[in-house]
Amino acid sequence: MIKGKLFDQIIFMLLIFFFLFGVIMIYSASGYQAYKLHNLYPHYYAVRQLMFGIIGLLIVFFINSINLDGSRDYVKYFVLITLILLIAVLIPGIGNKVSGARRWIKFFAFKIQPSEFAKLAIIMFLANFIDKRRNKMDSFLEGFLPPMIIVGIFMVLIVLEPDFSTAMLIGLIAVIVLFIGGINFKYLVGLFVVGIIFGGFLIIHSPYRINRIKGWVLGETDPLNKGYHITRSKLALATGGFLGKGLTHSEVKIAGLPEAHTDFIFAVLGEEIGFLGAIFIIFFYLLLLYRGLKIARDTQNVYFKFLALGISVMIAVHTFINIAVVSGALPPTGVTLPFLSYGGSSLLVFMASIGILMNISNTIIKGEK
Amino acid sequence: MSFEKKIEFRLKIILFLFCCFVLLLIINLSKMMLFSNLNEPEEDTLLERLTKEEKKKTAKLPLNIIKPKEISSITLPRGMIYARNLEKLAFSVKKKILVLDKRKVIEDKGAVAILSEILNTTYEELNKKFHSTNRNWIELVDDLDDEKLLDEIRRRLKKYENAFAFQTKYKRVYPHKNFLSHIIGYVSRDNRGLYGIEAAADDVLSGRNAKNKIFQEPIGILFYDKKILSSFSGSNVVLTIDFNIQQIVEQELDLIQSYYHPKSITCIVMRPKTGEILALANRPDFDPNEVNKITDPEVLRNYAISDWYEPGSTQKIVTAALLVNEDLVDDSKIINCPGRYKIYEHTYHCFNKVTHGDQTFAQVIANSCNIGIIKLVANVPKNLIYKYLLNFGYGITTGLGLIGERAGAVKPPERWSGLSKYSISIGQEITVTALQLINSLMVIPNGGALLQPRLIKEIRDDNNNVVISNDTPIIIRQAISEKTAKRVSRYLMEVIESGGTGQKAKIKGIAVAGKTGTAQTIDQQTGGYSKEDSIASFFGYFPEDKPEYAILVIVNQAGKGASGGLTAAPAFKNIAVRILEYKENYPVSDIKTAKVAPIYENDDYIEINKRENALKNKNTVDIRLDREKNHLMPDLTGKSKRECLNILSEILKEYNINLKIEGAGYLYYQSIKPNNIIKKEQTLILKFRG
Repeated sequence: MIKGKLFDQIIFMLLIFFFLFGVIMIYSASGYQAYKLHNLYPHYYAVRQLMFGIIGLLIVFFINSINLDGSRDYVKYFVLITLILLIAVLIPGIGNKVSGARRWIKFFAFKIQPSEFAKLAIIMFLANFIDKRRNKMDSFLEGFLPPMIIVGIFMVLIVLEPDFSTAMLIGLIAVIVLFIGGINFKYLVGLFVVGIIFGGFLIIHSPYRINRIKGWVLGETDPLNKGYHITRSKLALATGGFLGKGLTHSEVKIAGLPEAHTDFIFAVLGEEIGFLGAIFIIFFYLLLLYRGLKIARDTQNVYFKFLALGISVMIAVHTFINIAVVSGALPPTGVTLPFLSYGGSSLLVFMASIGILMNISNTIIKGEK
Repeated sequence: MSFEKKIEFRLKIILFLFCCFVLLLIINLSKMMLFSNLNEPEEDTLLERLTKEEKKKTAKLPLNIIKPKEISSITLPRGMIYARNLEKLAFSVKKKILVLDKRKVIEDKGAVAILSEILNTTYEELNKKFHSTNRNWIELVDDLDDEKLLDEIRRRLKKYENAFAFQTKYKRVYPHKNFLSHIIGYVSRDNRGLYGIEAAADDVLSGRNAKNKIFQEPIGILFYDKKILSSFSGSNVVLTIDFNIQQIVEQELDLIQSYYHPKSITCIVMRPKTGEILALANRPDFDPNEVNKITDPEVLRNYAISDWYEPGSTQKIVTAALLVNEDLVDDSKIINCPGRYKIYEHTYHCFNKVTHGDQTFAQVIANSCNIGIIKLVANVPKNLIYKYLLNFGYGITTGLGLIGERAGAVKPPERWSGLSKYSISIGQEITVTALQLINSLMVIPNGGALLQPRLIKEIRDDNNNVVISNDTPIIIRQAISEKTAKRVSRYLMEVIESGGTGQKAKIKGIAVAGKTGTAQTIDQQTGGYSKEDSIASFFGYFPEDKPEYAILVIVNQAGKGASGGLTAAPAFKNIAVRILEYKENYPVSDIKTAKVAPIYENDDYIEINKRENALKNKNTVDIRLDREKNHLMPDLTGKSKRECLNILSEILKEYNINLKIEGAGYLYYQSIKPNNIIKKEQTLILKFRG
């Protein structure tokens, strides 16, 4: 090991920046709501996020120090455990129901969200699969069908919670990774057609999804009901302007945008630090993405390559979709903004992902030596 | 294609798609954040055109929504108002309110009809209620404890069950109704203080200051102070009002009301040496629980602080203090009262046109002899009189802080006519409010010190721990020497003795000092001073050697024959006796003093005069003639009522002018403009204000 090259410093710096900035933004966005809901204690969400972040950092250091290549033996167990958790969360009594959806399992004082871990499980599974079948990916039975079945089971379980957006997100990540992994293009087209039919079926059977899409289309014409979140977040961004109102000076978090610290934190961010700040944050995400893809490109290990690719794709898809939703370019879906949105499971998964990237980066540095 | 090359190629495709997406995202973001016009639609799509009507209604909505809302009316109760021994005067109770989302029901006339039937009103009335406001949620039932009503709604309007909701609201309750109403005041429906202490101490009672801090400086959420958050609910205000004394005063005023039917009555009880207001009541008054039912806004008027009047003879206390303090009179001096006394064509009389003959100074005060006082002030420079008026607190508000408090009017000496000096020394040509008057006259029992009147004793937090204690008397200034005060006090004791004008205020076994006052009122019909109506007042305090209570009673227009000695003095006595019965022993408190403002020295009041003059530079007035020897209307702006009447007295008779007078204070409007020719039997309207 060379001194000063112990691990990938750029990625680590980005991680620390996103983590700390995330805690500040969550504090700013949630203080008012926490004050109202949690016994006049405005730190509530920020402190929890900080605790998860510290646990996450320990996990980062742990993953950074293990022999990652050996982890492929455990992928099947990880997938199995995630599947069990996904089934368990559907069982009343184990799964914690919040506003109509069973998405959480209570674990001491914390609630974990198995669907968040499912993303990482799927990425690890796909990386392992592509590595093993790298020359048979073009085939339908050996290359296309097996990963599709596994991903399909995951998606169905998550849709049952119901958590349509996470399921779609996992599907999207899987499709992108498999596409890069060399799957036959015509099967993907076929899958797309089937997906549209299936998605249409789901939308028709759950009126709230229609409302969400309607709200997105109608936009501001109905500010009290369907496009509620979008109208507010657009307004927040518009009033933020170029330089913003200043950190913690968001108004939309006080009146109009409930749960501002979760999926819509980018609206608060845009309102407070303005267009300039938002561009900087996007730039940092792109920098992270660039590092992830560079690692994927540089490593010779195919398993690592697709692990890094999958993680980069996951972060990119999350970031882009979240910002698109907040700025009204896509219909509202529950996609978190990596590191900045409040949520312990989400933060842990993203941090673990960074740990994996750092580990792969280490192997490249060692290889160079 | 090899596996590696394929990956490379497909990765580039994905990267290209990502780049496009990011680019679009940033364009969209910049369009929204940098170039959006908040009031205009960004684009006029078909859907937006279809819903344009809807849009008009809500166009302003988003901006309204980001205005920070107050949380006080939503969650936290307002603080209580207590009398000094923690008797509850105002508190908030939680009420369950039934609200209705009118949007969901308004289209269905049948449902509205059923609802009106359930609520025991008519369809029209309910419909009117719906349309009277822009709000969507209508408060249907104020105090919901009737389960039957709910059941009926559930049964008959099952379809609309979602349209109904509950709200908890705090309702302000004033358990003693009219008791102390003018001081307590009242709140609006959303619990904001509108009047009285409720308004004056609104920040304290609603705790709104702390809340505002969080809204207006959202940075406070990040770096806030926990104490600010915990003091969110309103603090409690403890008044200096003594519940029992207030009770006595309220009952006595009711008696006077039923006996004389005067236009208004005011009574203030204060504690000398501390300046605390122990009781304050007016008639007419109101029930703060039912402010919305008040038809005559006059009942809301706190006469004690909002209405000014010419003090009349009680003013002689100030004049006496001046004469004694400046050593212009000694007890052996004999003053003759011939019954009438002419100065500059104006004849002064004593009350009831009595001739008092030879008197000592003490007797002049005891007899309330106008002519005696006028003779004594003849050689006093008017600037000196003005200085004493200022030192006694005339011309500025007492600083009590209640809404509607006014200061009486005192003209600077430059604007005094030749008669002003004499008129002012017997309580005419100047005006004061009742509170100003009692506070000024308390200089005598206070040993010469003018104190700040106080109404709030302490502020307590929601656990009733004292947060702020307001116990220290505030001395505004030493208006006269202690020696003078003692001597004047002795004269005032003689007013109460048999033979004095205030003998009906005498209480056995207690040394009472006081002074009667009978001021004339303006007769609206004739425009002159009324022959029948008067303002009867009595100021007194006891025990004279160690004053504990000072009381001012003012009975406005109690009918013919009413006077300070006959109408107000007995009321004073009744109240005083009952207070003595209630307080069997008098607490003797150690008095600490807070601050002393300097006396108005000659230089000061000259400065003040200069400033006043710069504001109101007016020439003396006489009636001029034009070439045809017609009389021309003078400019009366800024003149007092009495001056105007003096100036116009001959013209009024000669031209048989129909005079109408409105308001009190100084003239600001005259219907015949200056330098216009005065015609016979013309109507002249004069309007006065402070």
